[in-house]
Amino acid sequence: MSVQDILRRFHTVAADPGGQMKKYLEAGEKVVLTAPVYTPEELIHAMGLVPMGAWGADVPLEGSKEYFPAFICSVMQSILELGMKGVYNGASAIVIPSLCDSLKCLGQNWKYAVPSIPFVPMTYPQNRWGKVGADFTRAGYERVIADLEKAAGVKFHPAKLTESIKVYNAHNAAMRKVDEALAVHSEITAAQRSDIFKSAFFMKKEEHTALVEELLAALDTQEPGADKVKVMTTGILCDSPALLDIFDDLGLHISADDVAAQSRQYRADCAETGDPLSALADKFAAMDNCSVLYDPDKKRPRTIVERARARGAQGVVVVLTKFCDPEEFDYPPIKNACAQAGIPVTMVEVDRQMRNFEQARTALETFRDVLA
Amino acid sequence: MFEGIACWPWLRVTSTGLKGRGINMVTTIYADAFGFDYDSFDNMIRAYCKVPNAINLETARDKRVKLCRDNSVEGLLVHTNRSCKLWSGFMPEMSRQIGAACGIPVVSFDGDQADPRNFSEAQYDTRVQGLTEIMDSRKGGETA
Repeated sequence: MSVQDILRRFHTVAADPGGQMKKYLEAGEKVVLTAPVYTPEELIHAMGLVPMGAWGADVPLEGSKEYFPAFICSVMQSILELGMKGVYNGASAIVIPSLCDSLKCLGQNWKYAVPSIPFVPMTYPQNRWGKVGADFTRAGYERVIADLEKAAGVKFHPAKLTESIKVYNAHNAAMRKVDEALAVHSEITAAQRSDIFKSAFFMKKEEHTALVEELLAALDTQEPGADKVKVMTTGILCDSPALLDIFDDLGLHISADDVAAQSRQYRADCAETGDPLSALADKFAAMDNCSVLYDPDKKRPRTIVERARARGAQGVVVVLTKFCDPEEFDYPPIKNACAQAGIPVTMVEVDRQMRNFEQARTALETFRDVLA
Repeated sequence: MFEGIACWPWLRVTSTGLKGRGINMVTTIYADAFGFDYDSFDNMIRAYCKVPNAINLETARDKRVKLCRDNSVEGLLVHTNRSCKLWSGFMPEMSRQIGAACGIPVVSFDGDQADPRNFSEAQYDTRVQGLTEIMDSRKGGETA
């Protein structure tokens, strides 16, 4: 298949998660939804279930307003809205981690707003290091296992987890490779780049890996496009079609990202030997540089600077999800670190209800002119 | 019952709004939140694992239902606190369940534990007036 054919495949999946879910359910598979930011997908996969990301959608909010006050982020609100509207019907469960206050509330509200889909909490520790942290994380995993065994009528086998860990490690490696390739191939648009990452949440990882590897092989035979103004994005989400169109209209090339729904998912691998549940707990301890992962040294701003430099990004675009406290708290140190490193920064606020992106367009247009 | 943290910058206004209508605030979860008895480090940790922001909706609801029943509460005034997402994020559903369990009216108002800009006296007055009217009519009396 040509590069464009493969990109169309990614787009079809990214644009129609409902269709994907229907496909798996009709094939007799069981789907388990996974809420942001991180869930132990390897566990879910090991139990023969299909993990599918539930990161909300650009939909109007109606029923969710009976549960959430206005200042809870639109990612949470739209996840609940989709649940209440029956969009997720057919899923065996939803795993919701405790990584931020709003996620904790999503879990509690879900029990009553969407009683047909069991809520499975994944309670992570703040202090995820050492024996204490690993034991706490492992206890969280054991709860997920018990709840999924009940909700989906499946059994957990440690040997299967070891196999799933290998599948996920292979996917992580493929995503890191495609991220590197996308830094060079400026002819791939921001929208197409987003499709590659977004579709990963709606496919079995082994299927997505195969498609990514097809793309990498096809890109190897394609001459990279002309140089454009390179930027690095950072934030929770960067998948709004209208916003991505602005990047493409303005000729901005995303050469790196620190986006929670994109590269942040694929940085840490899991050991493939030893007790797999302990290995998965150790993986969580090793994860870092994210606004929802406690770090007393707050290394994230420095790693953003290093990554931007390594990828030749001339500027950093902070895509700030409205009402996201963790990302809002990280914004000043990110801005300061970039300023000290001489890297221009701009911030655009987004939420899932936005229809008018003219303010973002003006900000990005000015930013591009400054960088160029 | 006053549900939630106090609107500290607006204590006089929130207090007067109730007192002026003959409403006595007889209980609040906030006092219970940190009034723990413990006699060892281990028991201290166990106690603080039960603070309002570390428990699920059901445990949070049951604590309040007990307070309402023990103190013969006739209405629930809910402070939707802009500065506390964890508390306010599941409060609407929890409040509905408390109201249903105790058979009492529930109203809410928007406020903030610290930022004085996130409060409207007019909104607070309107909401408390509404609560007063419902409580009064249940008592079979005239609105004050």
